Amino acid sequence: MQFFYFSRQYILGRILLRRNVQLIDEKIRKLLDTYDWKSLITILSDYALVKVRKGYWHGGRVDLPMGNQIEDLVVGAIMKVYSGDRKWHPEKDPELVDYLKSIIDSDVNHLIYSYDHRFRQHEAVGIADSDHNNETIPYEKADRSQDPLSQVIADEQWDCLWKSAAGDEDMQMVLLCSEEHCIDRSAISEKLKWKLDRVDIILRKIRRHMSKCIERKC
Amino acid sequence: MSNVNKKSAAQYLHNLIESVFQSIEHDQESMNELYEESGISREDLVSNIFERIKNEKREVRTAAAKARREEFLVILSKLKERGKSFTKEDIIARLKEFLKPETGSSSFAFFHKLEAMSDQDIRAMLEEIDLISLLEKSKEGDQE
Repeated sequence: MQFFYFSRQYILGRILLRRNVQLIDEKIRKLLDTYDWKSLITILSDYALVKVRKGYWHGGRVDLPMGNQIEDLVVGAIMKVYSGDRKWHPEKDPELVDYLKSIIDSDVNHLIYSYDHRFRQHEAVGIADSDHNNETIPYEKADRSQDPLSQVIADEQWDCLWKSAAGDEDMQMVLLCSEEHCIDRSAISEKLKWKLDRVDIILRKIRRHMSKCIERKC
Repeated sequence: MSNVNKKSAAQYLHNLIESVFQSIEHDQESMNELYEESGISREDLVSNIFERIKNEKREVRTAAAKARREEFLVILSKLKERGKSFTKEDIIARLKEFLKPETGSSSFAFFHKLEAMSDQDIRAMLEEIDLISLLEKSKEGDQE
């Protein structure tokens, strides 16, 4: 006489599949509950805002497609981990915040790409990698120099920045550093032999001018 | 003004934007300005997200609890279905088998009374035993 047991995992899996719900490992859930979510949310909100604004300055959209907001990106990333939709392995990714940031990166790129793929296939933003059709180039890394219109716009914006820097030697030095391929604050600090605090102050000043130049208010 | 060609301007601008946004993450004043320029209140944003996460977590847990309940209902109906196809002798043999590993004088005494029980009572007992066993397995799974 044989008694057949449906395994617990099998039955639960079938039910959850029907409900489109995935269960998270209990140990992971307990570990997640130990985090200070208020500070994590603050870090992730800052990150998502920087990501979206940077994308815009790089020639992307001013807002996220399909009515998505910064809030949706952060909630989406956290809930993907909480619901088990994205499986977080602490031994592989010990820093939860970095793992959540990577989900935000992937969601932003996916949103931008899926939108642009449908509506603006030939623009420089979110270009599909022809060898790997399922992948996208992160949209802030799309090469605007390949697109003639983007080149003209970039030229105007760069001129605008130099005009703004007239009479300000520190700003001019930082602009020159960018022309000499400095792509981060540490490289600028090293090149100009300035402390990072000083670099941040000048970059803040440049950012204020950039808002006007990039958003074509100058 | 720097004399740059058009292609280079795009690259220089790219470099500068990368530096600026990297710096913002280290500069609280710039971050506050970025929120302001974007028309977003950071405090409201964080508290909205916190509330949404709390609600969504509750929903996920409720869905999981409902799913567990459904799981046991499915198991129960399977057990009931299965019980119908066995004879009383089959069920007694199954109970005997089930009780054997945890043998003791009380379980033998219990076993001797089985013969006298009605079919319905024996089937009900088999269902209960199987359910208890499944619930125990489920508990072990949760504790792992």
